[in-house]
Amino acid sequence: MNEAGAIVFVVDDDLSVRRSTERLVRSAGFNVQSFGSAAEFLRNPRPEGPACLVLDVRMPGLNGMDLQHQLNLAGIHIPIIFITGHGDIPMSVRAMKAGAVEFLTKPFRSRSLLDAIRAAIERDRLTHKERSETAELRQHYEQLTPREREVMALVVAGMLNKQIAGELATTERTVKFHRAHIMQKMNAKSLADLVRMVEKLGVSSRSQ
Amino acid sequence: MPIDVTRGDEEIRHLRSSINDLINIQALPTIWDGRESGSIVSTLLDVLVSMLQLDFAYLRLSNSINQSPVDFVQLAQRPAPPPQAAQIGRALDRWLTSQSVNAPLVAPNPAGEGEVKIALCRLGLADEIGALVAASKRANFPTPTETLLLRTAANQALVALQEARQLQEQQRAAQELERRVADRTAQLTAANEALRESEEKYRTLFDSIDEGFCTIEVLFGENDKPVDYRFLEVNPSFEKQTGIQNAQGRRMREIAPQHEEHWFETYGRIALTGEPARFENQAAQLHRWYDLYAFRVGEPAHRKVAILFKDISERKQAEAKLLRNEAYLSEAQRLSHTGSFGWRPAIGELLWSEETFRIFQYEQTLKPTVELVLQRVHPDDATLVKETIGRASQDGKDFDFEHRLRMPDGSVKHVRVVAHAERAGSGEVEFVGAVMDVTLAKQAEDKIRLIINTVPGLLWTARPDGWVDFLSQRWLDYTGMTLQQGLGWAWQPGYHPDDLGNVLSKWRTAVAERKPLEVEARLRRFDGEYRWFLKRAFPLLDRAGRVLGWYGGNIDVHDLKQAEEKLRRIETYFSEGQRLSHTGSWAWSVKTKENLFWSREHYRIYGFDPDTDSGHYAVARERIHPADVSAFDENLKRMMQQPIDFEIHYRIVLPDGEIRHIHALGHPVLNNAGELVEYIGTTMDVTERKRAEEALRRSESYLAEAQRLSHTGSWARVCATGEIRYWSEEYTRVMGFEPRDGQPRLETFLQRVHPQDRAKVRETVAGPGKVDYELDYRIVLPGGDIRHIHTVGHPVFSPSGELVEFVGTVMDVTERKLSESLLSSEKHLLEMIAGGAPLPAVLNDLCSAIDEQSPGLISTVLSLDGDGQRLWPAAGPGVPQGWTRLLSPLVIGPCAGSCGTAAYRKEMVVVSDVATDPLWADFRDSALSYGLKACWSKPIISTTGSVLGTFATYYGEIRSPGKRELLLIERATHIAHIAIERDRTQDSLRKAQANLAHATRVSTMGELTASIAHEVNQPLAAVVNNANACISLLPDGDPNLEEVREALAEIIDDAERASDVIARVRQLARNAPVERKPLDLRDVIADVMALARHESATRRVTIHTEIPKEPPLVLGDRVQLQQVLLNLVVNGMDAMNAVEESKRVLMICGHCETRDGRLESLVSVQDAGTGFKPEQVNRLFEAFYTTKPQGMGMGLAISRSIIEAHGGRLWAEPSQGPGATFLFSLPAAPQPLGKGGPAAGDAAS
Repeated sequence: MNEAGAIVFVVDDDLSVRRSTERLVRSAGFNVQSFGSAAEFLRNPRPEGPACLVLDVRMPGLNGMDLQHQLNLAGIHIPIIFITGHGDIPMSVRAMKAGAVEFLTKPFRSRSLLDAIRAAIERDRLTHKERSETAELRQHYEQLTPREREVMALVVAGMLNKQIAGELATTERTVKFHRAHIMQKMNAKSLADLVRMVEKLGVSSRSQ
Repeated sequence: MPIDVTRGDEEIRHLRSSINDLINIQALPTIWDGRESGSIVSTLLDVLVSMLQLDFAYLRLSNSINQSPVDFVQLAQRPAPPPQAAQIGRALDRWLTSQSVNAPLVAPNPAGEGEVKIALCRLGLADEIGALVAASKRANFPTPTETLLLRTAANQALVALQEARQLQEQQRAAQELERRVADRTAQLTAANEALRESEEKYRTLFDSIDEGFCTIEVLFGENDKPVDYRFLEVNPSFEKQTGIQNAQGRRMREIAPQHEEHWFETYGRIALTGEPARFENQAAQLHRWYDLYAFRVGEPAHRKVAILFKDISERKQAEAKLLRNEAYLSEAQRLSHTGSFGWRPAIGELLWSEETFRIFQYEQTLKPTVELVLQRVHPDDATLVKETIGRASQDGKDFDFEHRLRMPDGSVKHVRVVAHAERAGSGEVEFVGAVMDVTLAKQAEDKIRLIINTVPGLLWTARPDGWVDFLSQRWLDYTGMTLQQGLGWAWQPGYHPDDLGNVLSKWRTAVAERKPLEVEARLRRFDGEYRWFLKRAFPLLDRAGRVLGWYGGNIDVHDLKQAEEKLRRIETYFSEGQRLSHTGSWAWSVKTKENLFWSREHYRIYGFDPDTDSGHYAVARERIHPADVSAFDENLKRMMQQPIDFEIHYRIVLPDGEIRHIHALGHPVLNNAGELVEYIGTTMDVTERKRAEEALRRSESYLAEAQRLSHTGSWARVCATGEIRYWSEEYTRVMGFEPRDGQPRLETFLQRVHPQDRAKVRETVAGPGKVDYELDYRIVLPGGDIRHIHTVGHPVFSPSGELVEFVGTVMDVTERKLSESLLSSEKHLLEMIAGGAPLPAVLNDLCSAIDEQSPGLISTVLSLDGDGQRLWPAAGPGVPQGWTRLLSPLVIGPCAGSCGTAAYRKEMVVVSDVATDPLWADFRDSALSYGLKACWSKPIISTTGSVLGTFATYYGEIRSPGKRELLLIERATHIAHIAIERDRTQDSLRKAQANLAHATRVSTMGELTASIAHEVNQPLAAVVNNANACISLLPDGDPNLEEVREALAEIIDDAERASDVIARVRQLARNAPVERKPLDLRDVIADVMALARHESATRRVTIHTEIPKEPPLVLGDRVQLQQVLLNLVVNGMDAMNAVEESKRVLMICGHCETRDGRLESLVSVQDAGTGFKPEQVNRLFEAFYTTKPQGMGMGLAISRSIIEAHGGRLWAEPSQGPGATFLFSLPAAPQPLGKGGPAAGDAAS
């Protein structure tokens, strides 16, 4: 179950907790890095691969909730699993609303933690994938000529070649020609594919 | 000139050219017109040189202005350097001055080489213009034509030059004229300006001077007689000076028709003669005097006169007045034979009035000098006069003295010179004075003086101011002074120093008030003796009431005075004697039936005023008490009938109602014929005596009563025999004697005394002592009662100083003694109770004190335990131990010995005989075996009515309680009650405190629940994690055993950690009894830090600690001290809730210090929070005071009581920065470590 490239960060001011958690997670086959404070964690360079963060709430200096907030502001969407010596409902609700994956109270069951870690890593992975896919699509999109973009916008709007030709004052043949290139450049297998791509890209259907 | 035809054309040509040249030359003047000489010449020369082809042309122009001529030259060619015109001129000089003109001349060429032919033309008839020279190298030069041309040109030039010169002259003249005119104009302008300025000044002067100024035109009538004048111009002051308004243009006659003729005459004369006049005159109509200066102005024909004048009317009036005064003065002087003088010493100027001359008998024509004065001065007075004058001129002070003059005919005059000094502005002194011829007066004086000196008596006279100016010879003889020594005010030393003051003041008053003087004083005789004189003086007054002089004399009244003095003294003694003895004396005339004499005291006795009231019989009689009047009258009748000595008593009633007792004695006085003339006698006010007698009687009876009440007997003991001469009733009672026994004997008395005290009593009583004494001893009454006696003795001496007897008192002080010792014991016990002494100690001391009070008494205290059934011994130092053991416990009941029964019945139980009393049935034998034969027990009842215990007394013999014992028991029970109740109350209080502390602890713990939970959860989580990790790690084929072991070790650590936290919490939550053990405060601090660590993290509070190196050891309860410190730490953190996170700092410090000689450990908790106001500091520690919204406010109050229970202090101070510091100090534990401190008491609570 070794997740290649995935890394789990543990941030807790209590030494025993930190060490034991690290041991536990490592024993489950993850790569672990632990920090004694949020500040230390922030100094650390951004992880490459998918990652998640096991974070204590009550810490001296920057506490867990604040760290979550800061990461959100910075746009760093590393999934967070909160662990706390004592928590109350409002705190957990706040944490979850702010995007935490899980909120566990100490002492927590190892299973709960490990499941949450896996879920978090998976989420992060998906996010990465999403992002890279979108990046790729964007790259393809850049390669389209303006005319092709125009055509694509109309195509995904459901218009016929003939209609498109009329709209753009060109011949059907030309439209077809463009269409072929679009499909090729975008690497779309079908119209539906294309539609999905366009949606992902977020370009509007009418040309800009 | 012969014309050569052959050369006809050439000639013609030549001629033509010459004619042309001529014409040209003729035309020159037009060119020259208006030019100046220089240009004319140069043009000429130019033309000539070119026309005639000269080598050069030269002209010398003579200068009309100065003599140096000007040279001009024009050269055909210019060699270098070009020759100067002057040079050429000089070269040609010979020819220029020569007279021959026409011969062609040859000269060396001054303007080049070779020779030249020159032609000379003179300009002007006398060369006044100049000379012209033309020069050419041509041999035929000059040809006739050339000459002609030359001449013509020269002539033309001459004319032009002449014209030019004329023109020049004209121009110069014109310039000169212009310059002169300009100068003239400037002068005129300056003159005008000056004139204007002076006009202005004149105008200003005219307008502003105070003097009047006017100009008039004198009008003349026939024969040039001036008749009037008209005012032409007047200045503003004119009106002021004359009072005439709008004078300008008016005629004087018009203004003042009565104006004196002389005015017109004077002005007319001035107008005609032009002689100015200065004069003073009066203008009667204007009522003014003027000082005028008038002078003619303008043309004589105009008859104008200017007048400058000033109104001197005032001055004139003053002058007139002065003259008048001078005249009066002169007359006055003549009449009074007084001359006046003025003297300026600095310049030796002396001015005399007429009279002064006459006095000195000098002619008025002589100039007065000081020498003249001195000549007349009588030789004998010369020194005085010279001195006086000399001093005056130096001092500049007023002088007034008399001296004699000797006239040429030998007659002597007396003069008095008075002068007053005045300082002029320059500082110079000027004297103004008068010389008075007082010869006649002096003569009269001398006559009188002679009379006075002859008359016996010390006579003297003085000036009105009191200055003695004459002392009679007799005066001088008596005092031994000389006239000089006594004159003036110098006579003062003649009087006795004590009297002088009075004399002076009376004399001064007399002088001031102009009233006669009469004063007695001692005057010193020449031999130093003082004798009394009566000094009298009368003022001699003039008609106006002014004092002319004083006339006085001193009469010798010495002997008289001595006699007076003696008499007065005797009188005083007598009067005093009467007063002291309240005895008045009287004399009664039989004939007149009236008082002849009453002494002062007599008046007083009757209540009259000796100075103001009459001494009539009638008024005295009125005062007699109504009841005694008849007896008085009876006596009076008898005494009138025949001479008797009598003695009567009666009372009088004074005006204020007071009754006085009178004792009167009377004695008849017979005249020489044996007839009864009068009675004399005394009156004595015996009221006091009577009262005293009564008072004595009364006090005697009081005394007897007092003695009885106070158990004090009095006695008197004769020393010689030891016999008790006198003894009071009470004495017998106190000492326990029977009245019928009679006089107590010393031995009997001593027998009474307690054997133990007998010796000391015998010593004092029968001993040789002769001083006051006080003695305490006991006696044993017949019944066996012991009483305490306090006796006081006082020695009585005979007049010869021998000890006669002792008198004194005996007092039974038994009760008092008992009370005193009891009181002192009670006080001591109460102090013990108040001071918080342990109950057993108090009760034991109580029993000891009671035991002392009554010999043979053994007291004990038993306390009832909580269930109300059993009595336990609480104290009883005198009780046999075995017996105490037997009674531990004693169950109460209706028949349980004295105590048990008493506690059961709740009332006192008296068992006089243990052996027989049924209550002791069960304990009889034991008790008897311990020798306890009587037992009385009183229950100790609490304020709420429940039984606390019993107080019991045992005796070793059969005994019933006497009054005293009962009292003792009463008091003891009371004390025991107080002690026990207090102890119980203290106990409850301690319990309540502990409970409250516990409650607070719990609530504090409650506040920390979250932290505690967290504290526990951390290790638990770690444990779970590690355990799970182990599970994960183990199944693998190659387990990482090292890791597993590590994990397991950590599990154990964490589990212990969690358990520690729990343990700590549990400890705090326990309400364990308070321990007092030696503690290291550092441990307490560490505990609290552990408890609060998480909380501090949560709240972002940084905690710093400062721990001393030496262990601060204290005695205390660890849990309670943790509670205190925790409370302070939590409070501190709470205080910083609102503070910015970075500034949340809590400082815990501990150190040892010595205070008041004791070693203390100090712990402080300092926060950086909101702090508190100094005035709130005490409130902080009050129960229920809190600033926290959810707080109960007990924390600090409890903390303080905990610390105080530990013997320390807890207080708060504002920090030096923001926030507050809470501190507590605890006494250091006594060394060495390990020994416990005093136990809190092992008594069961």
